[in-house]
Amino acid sequence: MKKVILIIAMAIMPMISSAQSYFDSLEDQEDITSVIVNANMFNLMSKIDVSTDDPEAQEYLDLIKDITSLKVFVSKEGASTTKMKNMLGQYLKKSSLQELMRIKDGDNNVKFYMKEGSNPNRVSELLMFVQGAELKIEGKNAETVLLTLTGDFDLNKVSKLTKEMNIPGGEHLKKVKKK
Amino acid sequence: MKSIKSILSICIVTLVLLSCNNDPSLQKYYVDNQENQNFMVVDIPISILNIKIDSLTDKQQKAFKSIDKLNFLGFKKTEDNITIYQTEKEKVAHILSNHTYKTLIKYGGKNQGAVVKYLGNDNAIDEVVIFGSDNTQGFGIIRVIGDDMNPSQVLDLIEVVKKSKPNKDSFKDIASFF
Repeated sequence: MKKVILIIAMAIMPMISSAQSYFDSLEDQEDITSVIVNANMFNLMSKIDVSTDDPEAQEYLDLIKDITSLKVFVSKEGASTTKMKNMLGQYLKKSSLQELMRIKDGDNNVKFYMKEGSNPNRVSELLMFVQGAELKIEGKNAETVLLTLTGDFDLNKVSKLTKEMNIPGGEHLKKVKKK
Repeated sequence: MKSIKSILSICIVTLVLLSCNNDPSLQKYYVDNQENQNFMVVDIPISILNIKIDSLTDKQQKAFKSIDKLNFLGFKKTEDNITIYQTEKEKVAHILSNHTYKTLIKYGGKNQGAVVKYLGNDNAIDEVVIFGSDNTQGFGIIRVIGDDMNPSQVLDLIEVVKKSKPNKDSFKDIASFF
């Protein structure tokens, strides 16, 4: 009997564990606006045929090739922002993210965390948390922004991408650079 | 010998569980609801763009020919069909949660949601599905159906669309639905 349960459990496992990431539960929250760009999208984007004589476009493509996912969560509702903050706290405890920099810019508290990538010049995850930000999304003031970028990319190139993509909190991302 | 047996049984159970996933297809959903008055189903042939094939470069022609048609389904929410709206929305979400649809982009907001998915592999896309919903208006699905659409041709396609002189009347039906 034990064996049967074990066999069924092992058979189900690969179906359940198909790459659930930590912040996925935030996607279904009513008060949280989320934008998720998947590895598939970055993969397709990197295949777009641009004329290689445009160095800027080429550099942009190179960065896209190195990114596997982009997730942005925004909320201005008290309960949801607290939830986001708590989740971040737990995530920071269990993952090996290091604090990269902290910026206090007027009312905005911006924190950056990172995980080192395949070599010292690269990062495998960049996480930005903005609190009390006066960002405009759909014409409304948003309170809290949580952004994570994963892959294996050059931090200094990130500002280039965010300029093109017009994502919330992009103006803070511009400031991020390797110490 | 015993271990071979258990490995074999794991394989069989996995296969059985996977094949239970006999999900309804989006195509069937379109057909099923064609006659339903809450829905609007429109086939948009690619000829709507009114393009002179001769005016395109070889690469643009290839990109253009890889697309067959656009397929639109809309559900208009009214005061009388709120519960139907919820169940139908969940049905679509369930169909799209099938693993053969690869998710590209997902957006979720208060009362709104959108998701872009595709079928095929990254060099030969067979179908792109855009599903958007707004809890005050209704939901809509656009299927872009083609044959081996290649992402590298996206820029060529944009050029094609720039050259097009779409027949505006055909879009009016869809616009007036919401």
